[in-house]
Amino acid sequence: MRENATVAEKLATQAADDLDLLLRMTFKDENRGDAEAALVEFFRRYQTTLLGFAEKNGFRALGWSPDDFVLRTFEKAFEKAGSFKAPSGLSPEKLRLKIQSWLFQIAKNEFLMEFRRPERKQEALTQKEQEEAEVQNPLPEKAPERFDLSALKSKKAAVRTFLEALPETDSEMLVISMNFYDFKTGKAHIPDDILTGLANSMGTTPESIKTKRGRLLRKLEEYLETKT
Amino acid sequence: MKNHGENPAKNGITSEELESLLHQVLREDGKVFPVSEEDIRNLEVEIDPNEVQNIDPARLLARVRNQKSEERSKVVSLFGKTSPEVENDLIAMAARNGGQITDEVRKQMEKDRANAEKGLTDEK
Repeated sequence: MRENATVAEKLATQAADDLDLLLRMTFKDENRGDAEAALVEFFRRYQTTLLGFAEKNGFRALGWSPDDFVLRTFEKAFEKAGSFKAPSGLSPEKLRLKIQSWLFQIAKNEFLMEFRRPERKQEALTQKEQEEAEVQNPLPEKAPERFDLSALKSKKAAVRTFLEALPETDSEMLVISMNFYDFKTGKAHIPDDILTGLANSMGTTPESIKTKRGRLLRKLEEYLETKT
Repeated sequence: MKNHGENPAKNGITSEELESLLHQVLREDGKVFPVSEEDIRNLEVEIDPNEVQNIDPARLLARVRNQKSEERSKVVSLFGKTSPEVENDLIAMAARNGGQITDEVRKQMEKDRANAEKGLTDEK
């Protein structure tokens, strides 16, 4: 943020709409001070949900700091501000959701990149990897559920109770693995390179993650049988 | 991922339904990455902003500026350069508008540094 920004400039930034802030961030090479002021305001508006999410999930099991995760996401958003796309004429509420979903996709990319080929972290990405990492397909309004789960609604409370009763490391491992859930197959598929990175982070082997995960799902199945 | 059983269980849930149910519960509770705008709405409801301790934007600015200076440092300096420690201190001070670091931010910075150093050690 510019140290000599006037009060009027600061107020104008606080009143700017989200698209204006993103646009100003894209001009970081031409007007660095203004782009940074826009970033600070953008960060102020959007960091809470992402931070709340990072604190809730199992990233701590991997030795990650929620703050670091959020800061990395916004660093990337600043770098890629020009890649944000939204149809014109969206209501402020719709636009806010689009921005949140864009930020979460950046965050997820960062999450995946952390595990992918750790030995190559310091090397430049290939053109193909770069393109893959930058694809930001908009999130759908609703999840493309494979099954009609309305009949299983009554079992949700039991699932929550089961998860709460698990040792923290087991619960976190199961939760992290579910980030790789595939709606097409109805199962979580962790790509091999990511599974290896995940196992390294958790101080175990890919095989033992697979075995433990299978065991936990069987336990959940049995638990639902007896409790619901 | 290994299938833990294709056949419907006694209570009539297939393994796919079980994973779908688990995934749905975790999404509703904001524990896995959202996959739809509806999930984001749920997440916003789930998170109490008063319970989240927001990050000081100065930390983000310090990182963004540090990254920029790292990009620039690819150019070889003819007259030697400031040590990275001094440069980082100056950048961080500028990001705070010359202000002092609060105890809270200092603690967090130490935690971040410890995590980063742990990461470097692990990579070796």
